[in-house]
Amino acid sequence: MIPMIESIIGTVLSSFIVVIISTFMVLVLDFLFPSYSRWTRMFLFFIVLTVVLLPAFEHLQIIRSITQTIATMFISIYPLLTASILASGGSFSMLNFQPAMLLFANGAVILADKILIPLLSAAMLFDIVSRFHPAVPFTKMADLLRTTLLGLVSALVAAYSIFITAGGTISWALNGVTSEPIKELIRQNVPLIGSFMTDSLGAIGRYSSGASVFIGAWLIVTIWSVALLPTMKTLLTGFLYRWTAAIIEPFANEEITGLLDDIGKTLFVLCAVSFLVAFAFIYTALFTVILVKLITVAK
Amino acid sequence: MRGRLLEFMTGVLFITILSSVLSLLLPEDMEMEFLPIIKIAMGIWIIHSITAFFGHSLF
Repeated sequence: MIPMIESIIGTVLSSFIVVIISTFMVLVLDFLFPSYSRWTRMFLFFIVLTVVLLPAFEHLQIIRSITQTIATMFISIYPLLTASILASGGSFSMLNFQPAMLLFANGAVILADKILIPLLSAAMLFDIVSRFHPAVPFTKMADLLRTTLLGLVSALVAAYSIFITAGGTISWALNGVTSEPIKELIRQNVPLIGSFMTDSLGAIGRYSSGASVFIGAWLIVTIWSVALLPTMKTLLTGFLYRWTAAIIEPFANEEITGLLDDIGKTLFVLCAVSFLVAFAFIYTALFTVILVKLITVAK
Repeated sequence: MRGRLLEFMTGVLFITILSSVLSLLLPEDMEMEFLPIIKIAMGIWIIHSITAFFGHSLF
């Protein structure tokens, strides 16, 4: 966990240091040559854009590639799964398998790939345009896109949770006594998606703790780390954007800090999207595990 | 939908970059006179995109 955090901070922080230093240089230049302030502002904007946009779009691409992998996995595993249900007959009925859930997960993956990612990048571009040229603002449109996507994703995940709890596939709920204070902490400190995050984490925990009856704990740990690593990375990067904006706010242009803040917000929404994707991934892994278990039990 | 979005975003970016480069090159007192033209261009582009999205053509 610690090396991962170090590597993320190492890759992202270097670009933010460039932002901080160039902002300070522009401050000095503005003091020395006040008549060129328009040009320095433009150059600063371009420097910040080239340095800062790369990590954000990298995360967009990571999430997109993950969703495509998951969609392929779902499509490849579905015939095997149905065949095994037919072959094993009664033994599978205790699992109360729901095809609707599979459909749901697949639909969520397609939604993320086809709608969420383009609209998120559009929101990011709208933010840049409205900061770059304040006379022609698009802030309302960017805000609308973000909140709409967030509402869509949280509604999907809420429906997911209802499927899990009402389906009664696994009724071993995670004991909430230990995790409740941490949940409250996250809920209060992460704006917008905090409560949604803890809810989805709880749902993942419920589901995976039930599956640990079938398999060892090491596999659960693997699933958790594989599915949640990109999400945590995105969340941490979003926090770094907002952190940089907070640090340079006293001496930088309002446009630069606002741009960093907006990109941070967009990355938080992307984090919510990748939570949805992590859900889908965990379902895939669990179905695979149950399938393997079934085959070995049948033998 | 994706192609339309891409087209719209490209146009918006193009107008923004063009207008900011022009306003950099122009003297400062002309910037205020130049601003309505940028707004008109952006308005035309947005209305054109909306009508094209619903299958009509502005021009």
